[in-house]
Amino acid sequence: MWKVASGIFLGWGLGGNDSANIFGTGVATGIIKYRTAIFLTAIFVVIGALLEGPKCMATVGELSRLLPIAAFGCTLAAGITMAVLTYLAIPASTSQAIIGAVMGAGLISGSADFSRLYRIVSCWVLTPIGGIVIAFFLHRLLGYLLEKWVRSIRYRNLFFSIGIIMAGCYGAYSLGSNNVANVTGVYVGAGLLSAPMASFIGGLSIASGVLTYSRKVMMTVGRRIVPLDPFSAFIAVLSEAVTLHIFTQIGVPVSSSQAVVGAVVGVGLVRDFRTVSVKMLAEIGIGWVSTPISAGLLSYLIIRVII
Amino acid sequence: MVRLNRIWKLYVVYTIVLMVCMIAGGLILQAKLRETLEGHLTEEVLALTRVIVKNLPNTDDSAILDPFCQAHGEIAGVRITIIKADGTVVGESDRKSMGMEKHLDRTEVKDAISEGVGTSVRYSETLGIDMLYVASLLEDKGKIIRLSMPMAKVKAVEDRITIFLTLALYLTPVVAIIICFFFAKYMAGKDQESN
Repeated sequence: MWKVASGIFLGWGLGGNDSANIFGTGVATGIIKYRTAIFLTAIFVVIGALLEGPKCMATVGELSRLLPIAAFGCTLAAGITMAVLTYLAIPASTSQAIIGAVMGAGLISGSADFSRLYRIVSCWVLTPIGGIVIAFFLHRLLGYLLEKWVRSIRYRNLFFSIGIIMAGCYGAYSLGSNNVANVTGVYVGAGLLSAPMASFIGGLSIASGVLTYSRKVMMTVGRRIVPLDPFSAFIAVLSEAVTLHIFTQIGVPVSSSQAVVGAVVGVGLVRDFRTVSVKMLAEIGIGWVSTPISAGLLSYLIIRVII
Repeated sequence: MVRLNRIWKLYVVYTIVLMVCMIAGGLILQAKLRETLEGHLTEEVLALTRVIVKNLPNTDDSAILDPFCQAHGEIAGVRITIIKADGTVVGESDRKSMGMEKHLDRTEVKDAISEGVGTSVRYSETLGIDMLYVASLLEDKGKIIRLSMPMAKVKAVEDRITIFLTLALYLTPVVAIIICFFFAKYMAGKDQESN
């Protein structure tokens, strides 16, 4: 069971980083207290992981058939890659790190399935696009409905506050259901854990990261999205949650950070504002290439050393 | 925040449409490629089946059918299974058929009974690779013959083409997106000057 330790480490880092995309806005604007936010996130992450987590497990597990020790090496490589890239301030995605690591390990065993890779990479590209499109239409639709039915400023503010909290809970649920496969999916493929057990352990490890390591990132991300008005912020979080949930149904783990960046761009399209800088988009592009490649190389090296 | 003019809006929409079309095209191409490769392999296996059936002894005796399957399986490089209409395995090339579980619930066997030929691709835990199973109904002998072959050849070709396809499909639009970015920047600048 010690081989699962590297997965728990990866989950802890994921929880610490990605929870900021959910309640960052709410906490930074004072709509919700930090403590309440992390408890809600932790609870809904675990529920999402338990109820829908197994849907993405197969994608990670079937990409390469790994031995349990290789699965340990993969999650360790993905965890180290994430830590280093985050330290270098390159926006990295756990989904891309673990897929790169699994492919690196698969190259050693000869079981790397490149034919499944196109579908996964396509989903990565579609994640910010999905965020843009969903945010654009949700902003238009809900904006129209609010304009028509809720005229009082007081009620509107109440709607935004409740909306951000509910969208945050849904976002946490979607994060748990989509990203738990990154943490423990390889162990299911290696036959070390059953899908429900992997979902449970993965969900708890993400929740532990949310509860112990999310404050700094949550404040940073929150302030980055704060220039949006409350309604746009609510739409951005809701769109991110819907995007993640859609990819959970497809069965591919994707990046919550890229979904939220897409959603913020989508909101900007409606409001005629450039919400994301070209630099930020270029960094995402660099992350798309550097994360899987560096995780793949590291995983290849680690597994060569330990096997 | 910087205001987003119509040219930048057009650029974002153009990029989204381009990426979505490219991804959809790639998925269709990949599905067609797999279908074609599987079709070719199935044809190969069916041709082998016809040759093997010509020599198949007309008996249900495992003591005769097992060595027959083993000998022919080794020559053809496939796994051969002879199944009675009730699902009982009476001949097997890779192990003793006696005591093997009934095969009536296997997808390819069910399809062979209803349509004459059934195919299925499944992961083999023993070999650690996807296997293609092709079952054919032998109406005159009251049996089903099933040949299985590793999908290694198909997977190798598919992997090679997928890598090339991914690079081609992603690099081409990226060039278009970068060129259009600079064009949009130039046009937006001009637009601002004229305003």
